[in-house]
Amino acid sequence: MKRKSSIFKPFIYAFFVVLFFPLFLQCQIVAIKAKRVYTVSHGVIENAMIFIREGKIEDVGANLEIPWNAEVIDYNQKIIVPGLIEAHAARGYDLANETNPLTPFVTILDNIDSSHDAFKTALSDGVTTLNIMPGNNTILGGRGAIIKPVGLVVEDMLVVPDSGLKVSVSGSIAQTRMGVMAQLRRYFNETKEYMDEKDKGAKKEEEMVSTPGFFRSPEYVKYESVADLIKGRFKAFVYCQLPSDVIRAFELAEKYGYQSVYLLGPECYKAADFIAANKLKVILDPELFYFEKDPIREETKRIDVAGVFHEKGVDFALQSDPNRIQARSLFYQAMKAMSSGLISADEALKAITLVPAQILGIETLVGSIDKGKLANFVVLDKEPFMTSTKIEFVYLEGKVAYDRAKDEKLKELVSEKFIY
Amino acid sequence: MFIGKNRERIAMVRKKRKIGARVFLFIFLLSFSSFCFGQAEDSLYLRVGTLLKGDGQILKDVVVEIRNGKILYVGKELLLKKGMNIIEFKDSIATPGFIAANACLKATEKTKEVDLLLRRGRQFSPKRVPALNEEESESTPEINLLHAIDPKAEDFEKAWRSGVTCVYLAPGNLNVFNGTGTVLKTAGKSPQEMLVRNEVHLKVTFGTEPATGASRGLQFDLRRRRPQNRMGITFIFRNQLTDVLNKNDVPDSELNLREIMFRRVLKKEIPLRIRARSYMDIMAALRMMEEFGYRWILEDGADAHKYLDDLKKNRIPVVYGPVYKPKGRTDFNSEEDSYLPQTPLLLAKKGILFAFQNNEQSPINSFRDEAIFAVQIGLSREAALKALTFDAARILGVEDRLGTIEKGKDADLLIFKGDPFEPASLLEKVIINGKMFDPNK
Repeated sequence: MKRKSSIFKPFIYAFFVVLFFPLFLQCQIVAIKAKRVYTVSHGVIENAMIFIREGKIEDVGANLEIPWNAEVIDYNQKIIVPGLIEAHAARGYDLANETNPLTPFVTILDNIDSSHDAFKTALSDGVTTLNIMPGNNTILGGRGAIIKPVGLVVEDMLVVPDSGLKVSVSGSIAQTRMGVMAQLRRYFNETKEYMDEKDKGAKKEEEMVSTPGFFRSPEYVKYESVADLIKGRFKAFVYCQLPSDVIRAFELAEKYGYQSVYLLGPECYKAADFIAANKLKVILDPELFYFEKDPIREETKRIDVAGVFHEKGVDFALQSDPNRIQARSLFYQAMKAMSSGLISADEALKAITLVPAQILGIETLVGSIDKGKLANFVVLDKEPFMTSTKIEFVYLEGKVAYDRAKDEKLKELVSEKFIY
Repeated sequence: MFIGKNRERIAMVRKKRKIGARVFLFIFLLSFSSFCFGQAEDSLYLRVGTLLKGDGQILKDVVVEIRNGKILYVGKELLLKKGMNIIEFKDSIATPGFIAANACLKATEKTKEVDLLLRRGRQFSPKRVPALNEEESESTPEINLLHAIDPKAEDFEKAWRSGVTCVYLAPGNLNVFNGTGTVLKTAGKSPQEMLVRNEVHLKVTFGTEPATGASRGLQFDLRRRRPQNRMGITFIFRNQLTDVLNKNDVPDSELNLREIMFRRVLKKEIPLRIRARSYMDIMAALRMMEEFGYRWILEDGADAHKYLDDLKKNRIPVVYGPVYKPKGRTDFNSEEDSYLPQTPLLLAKKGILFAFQNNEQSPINSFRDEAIFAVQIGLSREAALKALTFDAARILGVEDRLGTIEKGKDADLLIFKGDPFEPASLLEKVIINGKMFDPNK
């Protein structure tokens, strides 16, 4: 008897191990150690650890016990900040604006070029979430989409399909502001009529919803986007070039009862009081310093736009524009905003992570390093907001999406092979 | 009586002496007060925590004395006088004012804007170029930009508010010989006050730019007889210089302005500033140098990285920029497509004199951002600062007045709260010609 048991025991153990092995794999936890973690939502944690399971953050803290089945990655002297969020980006495609000024029915998903250089650049700059939107020159520009900058086709990149409707109250190519406002009011009135009619015949709606794409009725195509906006399914992203546009856009939103986010032109700092009083959600222009010329005295003033909003107590999100060197990435924008000394590093970091997430309504998913959120974060070699700081890794949903050592673009730039 | 007379005389002498003493005292007081007030008016004393001299030297805790727009003294100790008002910048860093070795800005408010078709054979979105283009002929070496400067132009103010205290401006790119460039300070009431040196370089444009617009317009339009391609441009270039070479025996008095300018070029009195983007144009400029023997400076050398050895061998300085070029989908057919952001780094490694410039895509207020980008790519901060200040002054031939913080040079200083190559550090004060400005108001 004794002999028998001693022979079979290891086999039985081995059998159990084989049986449960897939289970162990499934509960695989990645534990990431770092010198410092900027959580944004609850301060800075020294010698912190982040546990990732299935693409989400399981826990964050200083003195956590590492689970026995965890894979430990030790970023010894490195610093982690949340993945950056671009609250409004008009890039990743060839043309931004439709020629027809009233095209609320188009969606940016059809326009996005997933192999565009803008996405690679965004990822290497630490951006993990982008809200891609149509351009500023159309009155009703179409629906935007929230995407991550990784994926071979648009469907892989998608986070939220309809992030909002692009509206511009600042006059398109050949229209005055009064003309634009009249067109917008007419369109909203027609949509309301359409909605009332639709409420009467509920059957019709079922029909329409069941018919896909192009075979829908023309009314459906024409008004459904704006109807969704009025119902509150998504927000309007309103481009305001001048301070007076902000007030017009606000009135319109109040009248028709929809939520809006304001994309401000550089001169809109003059409406800061109005914005603060009404607690509007704002995204600042990529140009953070506005040169204003006095026409009579011929003197120019340099206005720090972010500083003005900070002093009025407005929470703002920053956006970047890779076509302009002075606003080429979100980190750079944050540094620029800090330069006047009014805005601290924490607030600047908040303006490129948590505030954009709140504006887009995805703060439960991304925006900070917290339990339950997606494991999107950026590993830096030094403190953020310095010229010499380098982005080493970008984690997107728990996986390394960008590795500086493997960046082919950077290799191309540094290697001597390409130099004659 | 006699005694009395004598007394009177003595009294007279005393009175005279008294008056003399009073006059002397009055003159003394006057001169002293004028000395005091004079000092208060045009003297400026700064105590700076760190001073980056511009040529690579770093000095700590330095006092700078500025009088009449010039730097009088740079050093540790200064004899303290009563009433001397030292402005303290103990935690700040001072650098020389940045020099844009080629600036693209609206020098005139009523600048003629020109549509530039950058891409060959394709209707590309026209860019409004704020450049001064003289289209009287393909060759206008006699014109000078100084006469078209508006000191109140907004871009000058943008320039000094972002740290650029001195710019080199030249006429636009749409003919072969464009005219002579000018070195200007960015603050001043009149062009004469802003002027540092006139007729610095004679600008020449190679490449496709002088051929733009060749097929447009009416038959008798001036543009019709433009060069159509690189052959035509090279022909015009050689033709103009050969004409003057053939007139070697003719005295100056019998030549016109154009020919006198070419003679100065051939005598190496004034260098050519050749705007050559493509490697073909750099090649052409090198070839022509062997033929005519002029001095030249490469401007906007997009392909400069392909000719590092030749540039080094012939000691040709390079004015490069903008460093940052966003890339979308390109067809690799444009002159700009071969830009390499590492070029400043490679030039510095090779030991070629270089400076930064801006163009219509990067405004003058982002000049510092260009240098920061070069630093991020790998250029050392010292080399970047040198390129922004001392090397730029050397290329422009104004190193006797600008480029470093030294005794006898113009008082053009920038005071930063922190490292000048950190975007988060504030430009606190700008001093141009000894006058202190606040760029953040």
